[in-house]
Amino acid sequence: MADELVIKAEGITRIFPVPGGEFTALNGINAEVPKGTFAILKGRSGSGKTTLMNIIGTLDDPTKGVVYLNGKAIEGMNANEREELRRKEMGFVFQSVSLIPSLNAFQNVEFSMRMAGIRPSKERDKRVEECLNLVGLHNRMNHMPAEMSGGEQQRVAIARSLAHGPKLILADEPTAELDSAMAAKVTEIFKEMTRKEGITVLMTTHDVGLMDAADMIIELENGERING
Amino acid sequence: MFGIMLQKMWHKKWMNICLLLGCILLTATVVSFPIYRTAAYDRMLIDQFDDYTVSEGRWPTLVMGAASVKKERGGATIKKMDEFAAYIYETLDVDEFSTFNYLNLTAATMSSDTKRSDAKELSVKLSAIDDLDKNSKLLTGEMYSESGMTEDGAIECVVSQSCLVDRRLLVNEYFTFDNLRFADGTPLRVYIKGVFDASDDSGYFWYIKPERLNDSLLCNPKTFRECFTGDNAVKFSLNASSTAMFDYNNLTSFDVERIEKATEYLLEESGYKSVLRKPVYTSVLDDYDIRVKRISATLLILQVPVLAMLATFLLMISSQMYEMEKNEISVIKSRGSSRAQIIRLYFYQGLFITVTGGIIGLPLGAMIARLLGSTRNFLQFDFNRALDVSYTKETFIYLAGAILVSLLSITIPSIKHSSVTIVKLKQSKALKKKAWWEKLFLDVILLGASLYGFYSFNKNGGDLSNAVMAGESLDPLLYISSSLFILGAGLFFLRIQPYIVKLIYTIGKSKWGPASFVSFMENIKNGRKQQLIMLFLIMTISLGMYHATVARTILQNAIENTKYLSGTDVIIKEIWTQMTDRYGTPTGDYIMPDYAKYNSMEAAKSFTKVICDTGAHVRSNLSNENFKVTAMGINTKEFGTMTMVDKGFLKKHYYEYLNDLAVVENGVLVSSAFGSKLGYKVGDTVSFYNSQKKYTTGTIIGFIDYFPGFSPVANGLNPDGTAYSEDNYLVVAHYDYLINKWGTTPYEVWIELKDGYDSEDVYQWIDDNHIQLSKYVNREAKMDATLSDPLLQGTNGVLTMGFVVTIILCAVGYLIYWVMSIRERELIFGVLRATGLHKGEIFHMLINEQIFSGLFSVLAGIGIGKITSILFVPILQRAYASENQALPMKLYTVAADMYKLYGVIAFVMLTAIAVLIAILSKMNVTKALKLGEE
Repeated sequence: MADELVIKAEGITRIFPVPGGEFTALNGINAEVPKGTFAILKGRSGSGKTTLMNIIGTLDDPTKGVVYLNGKAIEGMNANEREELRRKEMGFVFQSVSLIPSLNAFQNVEFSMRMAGIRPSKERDKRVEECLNLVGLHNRMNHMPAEMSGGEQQRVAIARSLAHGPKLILADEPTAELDSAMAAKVTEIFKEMTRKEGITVLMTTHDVGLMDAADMIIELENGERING
Repeated sequence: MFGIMLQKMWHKKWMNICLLLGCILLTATVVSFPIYRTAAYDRMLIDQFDDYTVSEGRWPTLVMGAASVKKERGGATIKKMDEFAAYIYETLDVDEFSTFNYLNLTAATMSSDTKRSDAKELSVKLSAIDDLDKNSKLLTGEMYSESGMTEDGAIECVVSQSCLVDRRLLVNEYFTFDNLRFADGTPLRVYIKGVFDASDDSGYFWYIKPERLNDSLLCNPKTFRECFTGDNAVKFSLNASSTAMFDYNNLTSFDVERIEKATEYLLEESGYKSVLRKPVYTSVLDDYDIRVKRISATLLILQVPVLAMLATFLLMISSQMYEMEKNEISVIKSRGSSRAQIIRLYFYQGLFITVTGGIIGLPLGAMIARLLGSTRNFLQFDFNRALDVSYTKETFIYLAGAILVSLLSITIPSIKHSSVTIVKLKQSKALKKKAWWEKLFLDVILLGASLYGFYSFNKNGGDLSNAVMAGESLDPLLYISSSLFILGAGLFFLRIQPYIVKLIYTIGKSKWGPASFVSFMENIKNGRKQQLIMLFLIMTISLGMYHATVARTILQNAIENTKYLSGTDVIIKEIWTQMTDRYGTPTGDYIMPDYAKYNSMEAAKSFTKVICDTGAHVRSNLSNENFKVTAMGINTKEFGTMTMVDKGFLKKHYYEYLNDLAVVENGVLVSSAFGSKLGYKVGDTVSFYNSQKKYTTGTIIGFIDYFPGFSPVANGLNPDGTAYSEDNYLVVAHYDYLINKWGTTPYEVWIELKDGYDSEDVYQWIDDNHIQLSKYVNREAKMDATLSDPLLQGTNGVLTMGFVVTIILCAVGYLIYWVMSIRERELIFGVLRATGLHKGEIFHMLINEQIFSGLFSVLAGIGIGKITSILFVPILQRAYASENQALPMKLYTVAADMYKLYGVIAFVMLTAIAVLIAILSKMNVTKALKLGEE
């Protein structure tokens, strides 16, 4: 299993131009995340976590260095190929509200499958129920986001990121707005997903209490990796 | 407070600019109303006086008084008459135009000092006219001198040419009155010093024209007064008349009431009441008052929907603003600000915006008023006829009103929102329920009310036109029911719109891509938020369509009616003289004028003789009663080439009627009332007499509803002010047949003009041929008058401006809604982009949403507009029926009008969408995503 790397980052540097100079957000980051790993990207705010996530998620390009996803270099991919990659092979979970407010829980989850072009709808329905089951919300399928708590919404978002069968789930501070019990529960779900579905999860957090669950920890400080 | 306010406003500058725009437009529209009205009425007043001046050849605004006194001791009456004009100008508070004072001794006989062989008894009036010398030119001889007397004590006189001829006077001749003596007893002698005529620049000075002064010897007024008035008056019988003409060109609508009151005072209470004649201008002013009443009511009612929409717009924007500022408000509240403080903050903000709006709106309103005055048709202007506009007290009252309404619209929502605290806000976010109007079935109620209005006005159609003609103000329900219908239908559409979207969604359920899916869901779940803007759009478009149709229909009907009633381009009837027997008594036979001269009329394309006797009579087939009928005699072929009746008004083609008539020598076409009221049928013989009581018969070969120039129904006002309408009858026979039966009969010449020639050319020809007219119809002049009717023009103006203003607001409102909606969803768009949705798909999604809200509303607006036009235009146009409306009203829609309307809508909507796309293109995905973190 260890030989199949889902993420391979080599010397990632990201420099932002700022008024009167430059700001180095990331400086030569190397990382390898094998398939089925629950990896945590750790660091204080401003340490460069989100920048790295954005680069791995193909939303941003590094100034220097290369990222390989499932062995393919992102560099040189055009916007369409990247979108295709994001739609089919990745799932995203964001810190704050990311559900589409006009869709209920079921439709929100189903939406990622529509995006990935999965048909027919019967198959989709089954999968949506399965995913909502996994996050423990099968009884709230018809609820609108506004009718659910933050934790519930986040669990729906996780189910959504999972439904279309991605290889990699990127979760940016998914527990930041949750209480510790709920944060632990969400982390547990991620972990379970790596076990049951063989999905790789990269989650950023600064909550030290969650580190125990991780298979791997990548720790950043001032744009540099400080462990490994 | 002021600082906070400005800061707050700067923060939401776009919102505030929109509010300001709304206020400016509201103010401008509101103030344009009194400005336009005043200017239009002023113009109408002057036009009406001008019309009178032209058609009567006399000055309309004059007050005339005349007194006769016999041997009055002290001569107080004449003295009083000398002060008459000044008193009138002062009482009416008007400017003198010209004063015509005519003094005379009662007619007396005189004899020439030279014993002439042709001398006959001469009865003349020794008279004087003030300022005669300044308004006349001498034809021969000299003007009376400063002293007014010859050296040997005769009074110097000038006479008009008619007097000279009729009385066979000679210049330089002396006369002595047989029984008149100066006060000192010497015989009264006069000396004819000259012959005068009106000078070319005397204008309307000659209240009594010189040719009518054929028995007046006019002496120096100073001399006249010295010799015959004052203490000398006791020896003479005198007449004095004074005509005070005042200038109407600088009168405005505000002067009318004052003049009417003052005139009433003059006639009933003043010291001159016994000598005064009722002035003619009172009837002009009465007519003016009726028209003003009608125009005011019409314009007001037409403007109400526009004003209501403007106020709704403000309400909408300010609610949107409070919606945006909800969080801020709740934070301020939670920090302990009182509700009153918040309301005050918004009140000041509102005051700032509305007053600024008022300051900008006022001159804009004047501009709109000018534009209104130059409207020719819906969305069509003619700047050659711009109005002179000015601000009046009324303008400022309206301005204050507009500011107040704007202020209320902006501030009222703050009262509701000021009670929001964070806790309540969180609770309300989850709430989604049916709108109050949906629960109350307001749409159904409004539709019901408007259809009731439709039904009842349709049933009482006739009463309505009569009420209008009598100058009564109209039942506002008439105008309002169309607006209610539009509102009701618009709401009803909003009620069913989600189901339509759901239906479309269900039809292609499995096929929709992710973008379409989200847009469907967004609309189904959040569509309610858009209801106000959608309703606004629907109402703007359907009102626009309806108003375009109203304007076009009213204009076109007026044009068609004028065309029809004129008959053809030009109709000329010369004065026909009758032959007299050797005793000078008319024999009843006419001398036929030369017809061949019409060949010399270059402007004429064709011309034909038409007998048109409006004083003929016909016997009813049902009783022995006689009915007045218009008897026409035509040459069918020639007549047919230059006249036309629109096919829609007749049962078969107009030419078929003429052809039917052509083949029957004694055939007659009769108006349909012959069948319905007089009991005739086709094939019957009908007998009729002309106004000379000459008799003939004809065989009815057909009933015709409309015939060029013929009005089937006579409408008018009874002396008591109520309206009446009765049938007119028409019988059309062959010209040759009538001549055969009646002998020489006066005819009119109907003339069709060549292209490129106008009535000027005809006038010239009439002048050149010295033709005396007894009837003259000029279609072009009638058409001009029709088109510049203030009611027609004002209506078109208000409707056009209303549409332009609301469509601008609509676009602004639409844009605001969508900018807000996109800003609100920026995060979600970011999420969608992150999860791999293309930019194109996001556009696709938004375009779908535009289709569901924008395009659907536009289509609904067009549909509702069409239905409203079909239902209500026929009713509304009755309100514009004039008493000479002959043709049945027809609904006109001109494709070009609609294209213009669609063009404006498309331009506005595409601009809005372009702005949205520009905003969206600038949106950065990663930026959106990072919003959550730092």
